Amino acid sequence: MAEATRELPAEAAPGLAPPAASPWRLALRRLLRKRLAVVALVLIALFYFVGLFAPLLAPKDYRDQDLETTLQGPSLEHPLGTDRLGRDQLSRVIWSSRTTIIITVATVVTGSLVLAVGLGLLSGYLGGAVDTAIMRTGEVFASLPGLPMLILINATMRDKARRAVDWLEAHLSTDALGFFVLLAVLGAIALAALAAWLLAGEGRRSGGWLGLGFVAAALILILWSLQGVFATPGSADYFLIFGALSLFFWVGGARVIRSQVLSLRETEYVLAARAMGASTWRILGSHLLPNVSPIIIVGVSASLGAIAGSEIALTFLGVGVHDPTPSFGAMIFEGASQPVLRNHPHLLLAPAVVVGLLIFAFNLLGDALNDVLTPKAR
Amino acid sequence: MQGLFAYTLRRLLWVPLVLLVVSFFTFTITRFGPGDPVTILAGQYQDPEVIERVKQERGLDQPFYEQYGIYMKNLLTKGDFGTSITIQRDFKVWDIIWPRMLVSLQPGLVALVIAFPLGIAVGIFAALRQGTWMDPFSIGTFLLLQSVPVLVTLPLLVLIFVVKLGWLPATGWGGPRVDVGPQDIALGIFSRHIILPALVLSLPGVAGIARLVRATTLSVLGEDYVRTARAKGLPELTVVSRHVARNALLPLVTVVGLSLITLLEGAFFTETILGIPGIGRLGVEAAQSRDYDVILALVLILAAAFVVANIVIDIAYTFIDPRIRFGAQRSG
Repeated sequence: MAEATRELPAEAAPGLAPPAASPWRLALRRLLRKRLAVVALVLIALFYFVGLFAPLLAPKDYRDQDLETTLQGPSLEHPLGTDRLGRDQLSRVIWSSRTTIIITVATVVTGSLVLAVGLGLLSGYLGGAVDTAIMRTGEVFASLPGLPMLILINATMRDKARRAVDWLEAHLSTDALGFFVLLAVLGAIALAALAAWLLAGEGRRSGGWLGLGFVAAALILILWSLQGVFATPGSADYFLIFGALSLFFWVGGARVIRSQVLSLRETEYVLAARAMGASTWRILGSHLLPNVSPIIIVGVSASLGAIAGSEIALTFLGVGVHDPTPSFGAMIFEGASQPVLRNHPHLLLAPAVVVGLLIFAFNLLGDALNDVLTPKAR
Repeated sequence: MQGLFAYTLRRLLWVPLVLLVVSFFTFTITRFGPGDPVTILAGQYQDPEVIERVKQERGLDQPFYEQYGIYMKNLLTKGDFGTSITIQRDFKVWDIIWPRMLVSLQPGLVALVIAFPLGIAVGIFAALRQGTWMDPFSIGTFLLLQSVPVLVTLPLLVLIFVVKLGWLPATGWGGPRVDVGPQDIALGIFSRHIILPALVLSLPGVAGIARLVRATTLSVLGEDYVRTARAKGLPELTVVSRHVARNALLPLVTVVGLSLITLLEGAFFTETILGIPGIGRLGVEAAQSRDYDVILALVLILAAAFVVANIVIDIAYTFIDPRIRFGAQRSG
């Protein structure tokens, strides 16, 4: 972005940025000046680090039971104590972070990025029947009561999803799975390159490779963690949860993006691009997408807390991730029963504090990004 | 107001269509999901013949579109939501849902009564103290309470007030009983059982109300008539209550609907944790035991409430801000 702005300032941000600094860099600088936002960022980064590297960081496996040391308080060997099956509470917290990360990342990628951005752009730019079809579908989804529907979908479809995943695993050897993961990694790199190229537009000469590398590295990390999903027994639960969540989380984002595109498509630079014979995809990708990307980031960051909370809530209600797959929802459920509260409150405190802090941090960051990226709203 | 009338009519026509889609969608996933109520009810010792017979009796062996047709016909012509299979066998679904709705309503109403005055007070307070540390501090405190999910705050409150301090009764539901038709329910509103659920349901909503009130109050404080009121020597309290608050509170109408939705979702957790026999807990139980008709009825009722609440919110917006044209933003 930086290079492009320097050469074609009018395209990247009409009249907003002084030629020296890109709007993104300005926004980053403004974000880092907010103390609370920085604290939130650090917390979230720490959480993601712990979750991604759970296999390396957790002192014990989340399944390791020791029936002789059940329901212990904190000790040197078990810093957060043990649960009713003698499983190390600290390890379960660390592995639960991974569950949260997998669900948030997968839901954001499918629900927010692919569905919301794709459908919002198409709906706003193309208009007509496409717009009507997408927006009416969205309206139906938006008018469904979210939580009851999620409970229903997860409760009824679980065995189906499990059977589908079992079938996949039976018909694909582990080698084949590895091959698919490799394919996915290569695909991700190609996608990142494409995205960087589209975002850059014509003004690019050399810069931006750093950004491309960054995106690719992030995607590889994400895929690496997703690949681990197949190895855990509860993989069907993951697919079901993020699938169901994506169904409900795209509508808000798509609406906001659509309304922005509606006004953007009448601007001079889009008209000019169209007059020069640019294709629809080119206009969407290199003219509209960069200009709605601040809204996308604000939308995604605002929904992260809700997504993480939804998984925890579903698991808490018994229709999310199932034992032994670790989740904060299950840990809080176990810790919240009266006899446990009375005798072993430490079982509740650890997961409750982590979840509370994490969702608060998500919301703080969302607020700060909203302030920084949409200056009109201030 | 021609536009408003047409707009309202258009939105209302949308309601039955949405409910039709919802009913079909719900019906489909309950029927096609694996596991059926009869098998679950039969438990461990299953006799295939008996299961077949019971399914026949209840029409569960019919093709699914015929089942849907029969269900919709009964619902639309007789207002019959069907019969429960696993939750309370052979009870009419409406007789199960109605008393539980009245139970769930009690903490919800008390929560609204707490949340609005508290939110308004905090919002006006923060606006009047703008520029001091008290403004971000007061809003931030309630923002924290808004961010932390109910299922985190509630067990912590139970730990403090029930287990450690013993001020509140152990979880459950109680109070004077009243007869509401099919069965009698407890009026928890008259007992200490109401305190925890009402508190937990109200706290997350306070931040939203407070922030809205703060924003509108700040804009009203800059108005000429407020300066006039101050200039003619009215006491500050009068200025705030008469001139500021009245004009700043109008936009709150739009939040009421949203808060109702939040309350409804919160009920799932308060009722599960505290063991309150309301519709939230009923929903979880019904989904787990595949009580088809109970699930369908609950989702339909909640969806209807959602759709109507959303329409009321939109109409309220157009009343408050006439600049919002009724869905006419297409001109670009």
